[in-house]
Amino acid sequence: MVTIVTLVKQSPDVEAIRIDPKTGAPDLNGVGLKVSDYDKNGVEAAVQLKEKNPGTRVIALSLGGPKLEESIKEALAMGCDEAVLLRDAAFANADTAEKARLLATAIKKMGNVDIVIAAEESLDSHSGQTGPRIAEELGLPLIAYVTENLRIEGGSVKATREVDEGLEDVECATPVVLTVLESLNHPRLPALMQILQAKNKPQKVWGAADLGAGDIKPVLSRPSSAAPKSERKGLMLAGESAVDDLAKALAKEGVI
Amino acid sequence: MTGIALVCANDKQGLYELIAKATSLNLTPVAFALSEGAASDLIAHGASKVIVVEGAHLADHQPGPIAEALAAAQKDCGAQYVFLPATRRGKEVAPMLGVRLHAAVITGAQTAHEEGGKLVFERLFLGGKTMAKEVPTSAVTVVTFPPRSIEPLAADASRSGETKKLTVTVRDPKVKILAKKPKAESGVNLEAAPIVIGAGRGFKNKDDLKLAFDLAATIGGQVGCTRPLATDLGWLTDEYWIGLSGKEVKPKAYFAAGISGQIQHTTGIRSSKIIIAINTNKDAPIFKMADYGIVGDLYKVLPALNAALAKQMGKNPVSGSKVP
Repeated sequence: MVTIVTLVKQSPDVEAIRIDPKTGAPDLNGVGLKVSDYDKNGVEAAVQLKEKNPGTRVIALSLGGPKLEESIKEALAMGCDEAVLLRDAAFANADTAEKARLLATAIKKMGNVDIVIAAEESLDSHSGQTGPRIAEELGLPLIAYVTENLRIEGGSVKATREVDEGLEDVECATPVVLTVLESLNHPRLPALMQILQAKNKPQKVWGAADLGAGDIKPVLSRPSSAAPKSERKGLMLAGESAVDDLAKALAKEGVI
Repeated sequence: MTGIALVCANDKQGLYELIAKATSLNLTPVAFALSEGAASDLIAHGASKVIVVEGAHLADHQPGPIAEALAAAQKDCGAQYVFLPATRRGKEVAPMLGVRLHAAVITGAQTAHEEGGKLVFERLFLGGKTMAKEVPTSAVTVVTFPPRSIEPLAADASRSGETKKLTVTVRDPKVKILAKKPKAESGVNLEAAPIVIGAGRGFKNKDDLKLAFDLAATIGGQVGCTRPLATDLGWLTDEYWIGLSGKEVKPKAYFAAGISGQIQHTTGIRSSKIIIAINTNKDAPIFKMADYGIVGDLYKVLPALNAALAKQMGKNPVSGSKVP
């Protein structure tokens, strides 16, 4: 039996974040939480592997706050079998590095995990660190940027990954950590029946004591975040002469 | 600011840029190389020292072995910083190295400056809506910088530096590479393009992109695209993808054609000198960050603009371009 852990991050809906025009500060009041879009490609990859390899178990793993159950339901409706949620007040000051260590500790605690799947990056933070950090924390090989042909063959994972200079067809015996690109698949929209069934799938919550991961020791702080100032002319051109006016303006600006 | 930055990239241009970056921050650049032959060239480009790392499993640039070898080189030279390019290769190595060195990792640093004897950084955050300040507190910090964001130092054969060999033993990466399929040389270099025509979801079919390629050919620009055209629709390859997870462009003029202006895309065009937006929806966010805007159908505006700009240039507009 193959066990796959797919990572699901809960992220603010970044498109809905408003920026204070005076201070540039982001306003997260009333902004909804959702599954980080790119993680759905990871869930889809895990569920497709399960469909092709009967007996496979898919666990959705997430670390976050009080409303984690709401977004994890979407991963369960897409076809994950169960969920493990990492939540503890002690995790509040964990940075990217420590969150990856906590996730790796949870995967170790599950035991006998064959494949770990992460997205290339998250919707809100896009540091792209979690997948490779977990591989190194667990001492496992990494296949990053999987873009096509992901399959399990005789105890090995085969896939095509996309790096800067082209594609690489690779093979690795399990256990292995993968990061997936959006180009790998089109995440399914669960049907109503699957959404209803998702409520009955098992969910576990593990805290600091369950993980036994010790003190949280962050190595990075993020004291501020604000929109960069942008000054643009904002000239709207209209009417029959709009295109000619634009061409003349661009000639004057030295564009052509 | 004193200190050492160990720089690593798997192409020469990337190494030159990171050497220049370290130099600009008053750090002493030490280059990580896999062959002795590269050393004198790296010294000529400003490396004060080159560590030539030798050992099994390094030739394929797999992230585990490279991270392990970099950790050995960091220990050897005592670097406080390790700089990598924010490319796919660099971004898979950096977090693994972060674990090995108990280091903070800054992904895609847009700025770096000194505060109290240490470097602090800014990077795009919240889907690109903000720039976050990131302050590492680790003894060693790993940083990836967007490629093509600094000019290399001019080569100077009179520069001198030490070359040191370091033999490392790294574990077997276990990932077997069965085949490599390099990308065909497309000649696309969006980061250096003086004019970029960005294509978005306003295009209804792949073939219609010829309107953008025609305009680009007339005015000496290149075509780029938004995330969905490169991913979901697959009309153009990743090389054309502009945005937070794609390329960052800084042309003198950026034409956004049929692009709504989602933050994912606009983070990649912020440094453009002039932004021109063409969209049927007058409320599209792209108009808020444009210098010039035309509310209209790109299927009409682009050919008209192609003709009008050609006229300004005293030439015939290009038509019938092929879509790659």
